[in-house]
Parts: sequence; structure tokens; C-alpha cells
Amino acid sequence: MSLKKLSFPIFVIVIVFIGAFSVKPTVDSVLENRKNLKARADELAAVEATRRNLDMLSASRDSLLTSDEGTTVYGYLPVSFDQERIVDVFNFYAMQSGAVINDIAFMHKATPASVSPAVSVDGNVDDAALPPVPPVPGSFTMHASIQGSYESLRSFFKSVSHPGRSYALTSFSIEKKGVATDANGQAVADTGMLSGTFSADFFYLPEKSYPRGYLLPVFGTGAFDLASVRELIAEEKAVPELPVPGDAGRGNPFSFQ
Amino acid sequence: MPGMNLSQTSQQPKKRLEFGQHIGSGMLFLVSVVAVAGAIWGGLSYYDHALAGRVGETETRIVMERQDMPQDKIDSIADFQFRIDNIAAGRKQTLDPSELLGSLEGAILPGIRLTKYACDAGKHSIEIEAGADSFRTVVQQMTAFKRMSNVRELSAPVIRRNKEGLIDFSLSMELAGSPELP
Repeated sequence: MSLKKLSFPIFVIVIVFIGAFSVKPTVDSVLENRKNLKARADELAAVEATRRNLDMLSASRDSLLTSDEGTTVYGYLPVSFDQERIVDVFNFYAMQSGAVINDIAFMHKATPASVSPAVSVDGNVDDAALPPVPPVPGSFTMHASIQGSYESLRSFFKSVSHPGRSYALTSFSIEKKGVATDANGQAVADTGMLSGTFSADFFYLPEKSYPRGYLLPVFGTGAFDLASVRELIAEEKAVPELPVPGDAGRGNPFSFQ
Repeated sequence: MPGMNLSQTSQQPKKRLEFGQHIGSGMLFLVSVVAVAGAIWGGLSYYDHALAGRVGETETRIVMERQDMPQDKIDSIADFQFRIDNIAAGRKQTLDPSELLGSLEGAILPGIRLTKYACDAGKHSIEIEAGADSFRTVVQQMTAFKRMSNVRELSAPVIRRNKEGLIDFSLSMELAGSPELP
């Protein structure tokens, strides 16, 4: 075979070889690096924006702490148990309603388990690139008993629906306890006094460190969204509607009157 | 000498010339293509190296910027934000005794007097103990409760006449969802 006939295919093979094993991987690498560079540039821009917003957010938080919004935020989900405030508030409600609290007991629940690492969209665990997951608030249960007329207990239970704190009333009861007797053991006229009990879970959130906290969206926006806090304040301050008696039934189901 | 081929010496340069012409046109083109490919590869490699360097520099800047951020400020802001998020997430599912008692007041028939009313959100149940003036009133009261939309199950574990002639009974209601009624 003559050199004339061989030379063209040989060079074509050489060029294909160079293209496939040198140029193509380099082109791929360039494309990958360009993509990486853009991603890093965006990340850098976000980090710079975060740095700019950090001081602004910190100042905003400091000023909010002295306002209604800040007080509500830390009152609704306190840093600690804050049980003295619960006792004070519930005692106040009882006194306002004409009822008497007999006893209060607090039971601590187990500390919530640590949360699992964040999982990215593609299912890989990549906790270095994702913001911290929201912490799980701790909780404790309060059991209390109360005494009073039906109207006073009803008024009390209406008040405790808005304690200005993250809580969940889990059970309550109203009961007529036996028959009252005088010193001689004789049954006395029905005084209408009832006993009530209730259980509620209260929540709190201790302060902790968030190593990747700067990845939270708030650092990008540079401002706190307080709409929900203002709604809560408005709800707590709202004057409750007067109960409208129905056509059927009775005002006090624990009495025949 | 007659018959001697004298043209042999003069044909040799012509063959070389043909070979050189052939090499010159084909090879030159192909070598040029290879050279261009090599140059492109070299240029790309240089650019790739430069890009990798810029990526590394940017990453270093990101790390330094983050290290310069005061962690205590980040913590306090993140903590504040999580508390706001908790409020935004809505209130916990909780009983509303006022609504429950209001419904109860509307549902209790004349001739019935409650002695106990207990509601448990976790069990989705309401327990009632009461006294009635007759068995008929007890049945009417049970029927009234059963007609309520979210009462899934109603049972009466105890119904008995007491010493005063009244009917003592207890009712246990299993509710379909959150206890809103009665």
C-alpha cells in the first residue's frame, strides 16, 4: 500500500485520538470549571450580602427586643420553662373568673431527640451546604385543679385559651364532687360548687448555637418578617365576643335550673 | 550502446518531485490540522487551569468571609428567626373549652343534670356522667348526642336508678376528629 493511501487515514486517526483523549476532556473540564466559578461567584455574592445584612439584622433584633413584637416572640416561646409566669397568669385568670386554683403540678418531658442532618433535594446528606434545620422545642406538662361555680369555671377556661404562649390544652374536666354535708353530717343545699381539672403542654426553646445559621433565608433578605407576630399580638389583644345564649339547652348543664 | 536505456538517470528526479509534491500537499494540510488541534488543546488547558485557579481563589474568599462573621450575632439572629417561624407555623392543636362547653349547654336536654364532663384531645373522647329524671330522657339525650356530626361512637357503660329515684348514667363518646362537639 502506498504512503499516499495510508497518510490520510493515519492523520485522521491521530486527530480523532487527540480530539477524543485530550481536547474533549479539557473542554468538559472547562465547562465544569465555568459552572463551578459561576456557582462560587453567586455564593460569594450571597456571603457578601449576608455580611452586609448581619449588622442590620442584629441592630433590628436589638431594637425589636424592647418592642411589643420582641416581647411577644420571646414570651410565646420562652428560652426557659418560665413556669412562674404560667402560675401567675393562670392564678390571675382564676381570680378574675371567681374560681380558685387548688393545685398545680409540672411534669417534665424528655428532651427532644436531636434532629437528623439535613438532606438535599437529590437525597444526599450534605449538611455543610444547607441551613440548620429548625430546632424542636422542649415541652413540659402542667396538671392543675380548680374549684368554683360553673360560670366561673367556664369563664376561666375561656381565658386560658389565650395565655400568650405556645401551649396546647390537652384535656379538661368539670365534676360535681359528692354531696356537701354540714357539721352534723346532714346534706346541705347544693352550693353549685364544681371541681375542674386540666392538663396542658407548654413549649420552650433554649438558645443554642447554629454553626451554619448564615445560610438561613433571613440573612439574604436582611429583614425579619413579623406579620405572624403582629397577627398574634392582635389576636391576644382582641376583645372576646360576648357569648350568645342558644334557643335550646341551659346555661348551666350541672344544675336542673 | 544500442538498446541502452539512457533515460533512467533523467527519470529519477521526476519521481522524487512527484513524491515531494504529494507529501507537500497532503502532509502539510494534515500537519496543519494536527497543529491547530494541538493549539486548541493547549489554549483550552491554559484556560482550564486559569479557571480552576479562580474557583480556588473564590472558595478561599468565601471561607474567609464566613470566618469573619461573628458567630454570636448569627446565633442570636437565627434563634430569633426560628421563634418567629414557630409563631408563623400556627398554634398548636388545642382544645377550646369555651366552645366545647357552649356546645354542651346547647345540647343538654331538660331533665338532665351533669355530674361530670371530661374531654381528652389525645384520646378524641368525651366522658359524661349525669343524672336524669327518667330512662326516656336518657334515651333522648343519647339520641341527641348521636345526631352530632363528629360523634363516631357513643356508648353508655352504666345506666341505673339511684336511691332518690333518679337515673344515673354515664356516656362515652368517641369523636371523629378534634373534639369540637358537643
